[in-house]
Amino acid sequence: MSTLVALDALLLTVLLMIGVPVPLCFAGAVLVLMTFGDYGAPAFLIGTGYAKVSSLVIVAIPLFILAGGLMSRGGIAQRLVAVADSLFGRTRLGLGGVVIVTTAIFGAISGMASSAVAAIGTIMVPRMVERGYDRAYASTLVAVSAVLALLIPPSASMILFGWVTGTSILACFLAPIVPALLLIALMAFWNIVLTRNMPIIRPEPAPLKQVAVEFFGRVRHATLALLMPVVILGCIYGGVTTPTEAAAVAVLYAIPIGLFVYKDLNWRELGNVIWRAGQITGVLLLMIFFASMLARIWTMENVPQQMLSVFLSVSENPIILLLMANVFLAIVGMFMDDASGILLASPLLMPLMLKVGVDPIQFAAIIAVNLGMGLITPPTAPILYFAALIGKAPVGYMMKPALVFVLGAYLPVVLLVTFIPELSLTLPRWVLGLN
Amino acid sequence: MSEQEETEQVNTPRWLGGPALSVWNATLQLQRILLVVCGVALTLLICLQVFTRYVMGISILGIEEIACFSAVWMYFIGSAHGAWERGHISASLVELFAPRGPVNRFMKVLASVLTVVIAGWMTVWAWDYFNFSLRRGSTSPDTGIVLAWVHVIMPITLALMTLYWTVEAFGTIRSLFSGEEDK
Repeated sequence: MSTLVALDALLLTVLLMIGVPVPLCFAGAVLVLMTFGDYGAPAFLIGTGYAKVSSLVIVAIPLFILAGGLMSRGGIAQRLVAVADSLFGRTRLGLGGVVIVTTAIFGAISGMASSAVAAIGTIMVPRMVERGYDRAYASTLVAVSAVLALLIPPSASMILFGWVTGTSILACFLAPIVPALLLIALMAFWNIVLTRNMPIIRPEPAPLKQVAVEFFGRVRHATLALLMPVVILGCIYGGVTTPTEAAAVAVLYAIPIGLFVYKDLNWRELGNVIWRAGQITGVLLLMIFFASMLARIWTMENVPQQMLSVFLSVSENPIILLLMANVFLAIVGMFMDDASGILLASPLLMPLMLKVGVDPIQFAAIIAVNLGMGLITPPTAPILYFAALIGKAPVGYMMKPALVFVLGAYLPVVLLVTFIPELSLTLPRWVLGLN
Repeated sequence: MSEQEETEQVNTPRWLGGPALSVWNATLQLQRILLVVCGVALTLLICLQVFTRYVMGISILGIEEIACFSAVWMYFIGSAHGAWERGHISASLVELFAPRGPVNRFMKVLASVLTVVIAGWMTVWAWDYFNFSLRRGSTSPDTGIVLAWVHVIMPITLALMTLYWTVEAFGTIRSLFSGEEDK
């Protein structure tokens, strides 16, 4: 690796650590290379960034964000909670189970962990506290469950990964589903363990008939909301539309439901949701704009291949290499959000993954679970901190349960996904007929 | 959002008032309106494509191109509005190791000044690219739209971002000397 590139990587790290906004960290690294390196006129780099963000594939991201925003403001969250509560509220899983299941379903609509925290956390944390759950625990559970939004399609992170690495987005959507189900099972287990000594008030057991009547009544009220993931995924995997088109259909589906059926949305609120979605997307896309400029120069400098050489100089054993790649991803995840992590780490690690025989689709699942874990792992745990804000919980008290979920649920799933390819490859092969 | 709220929570200069503040807020309102227009256009264009392609069996030339142009405008305007609202993501470790005090305030000044320098520099590059595009007079392949009119949003919004981050930088510098935490 040339000295200039090594210094550039160091500068990128320093800029990140002192708190320069992530897009400008990438831009700063580009600036230094263009100033001291010999890469020609800088205008061509702006053209590179523009070419990347003007892709039709990327248009799916703002549309899914908008659909998620519309559904969360349009009253879907309360209805999903009501359905899950009628199923799990009286069981040992309790309201913890309700949170896990609701965020998983919500993830199939919004694809953004922060939307899931805002929508579900606002409703569930006060309700859990009322029933005797510890506030810090309730907020932690919302955070760790919200990460499921990254793993359950349609996921903004998987669109980004597929687009950055040139992997099928449909396959990337499917790859993390089984790992997500494993996570749900492990989170449910730890939820029971961690709440066993809490003074939780459970509703009185009810006859099966009463439970069934209540469940189907609530499902009826939530039918249109529950149909949304079916419409999105049905359009995509039924071969009817592309992910971008399915996202637009989802937006068009969500607007009349919020406005005229659930009536939790009004015209003014609709305008606010649209510009907010534009802002969220803008923040994300500026990062892509500058990251693609940096990636272009790093590719010219052969940085991914040099990164591979660095890894191979330590060991040629595939198990060691995969463990090292996961440690690298975990470190990236501890300091960056999922989108920045994908933009930075996926092109750098792809040559290594191909070298050790990891399919890019499996890599999608590895990176999704690992960087998802990073969202709740300190020091930079944006989703954990956001949940603390929403749940009004002290972050210090959230660390212990968060650590239990990271070590007891996320880490085992990261390792399973890394060393058992079938966990991530079976579903794409089965649904898409890939070899 | 009221004018009072806008000056306290976001990157609006504290000293701004009267007509100048109204112009400042009108610029922000215009950004929100453009975001809504682009978002609606994007959705309708893609839905129109779905309808014509899958229901009528025809494909209208240029829909995807205009949708992508709307999207690019939306991204950059959203990014500028995000800079005003301090919505950009950062991965600062300073908050963890020095949550308050002079070290924290100094590092914030350093980060915010570097942010302004980099954003300003990128604005110049984007302006050069726009000029290059204007001189060449390139047009889009499907609709023949002059690409400079798409590219122009990049220097405009990067300049706005630089302005908003400059306001934030002044706030951090004031905090460094006054000892107050920046809002």
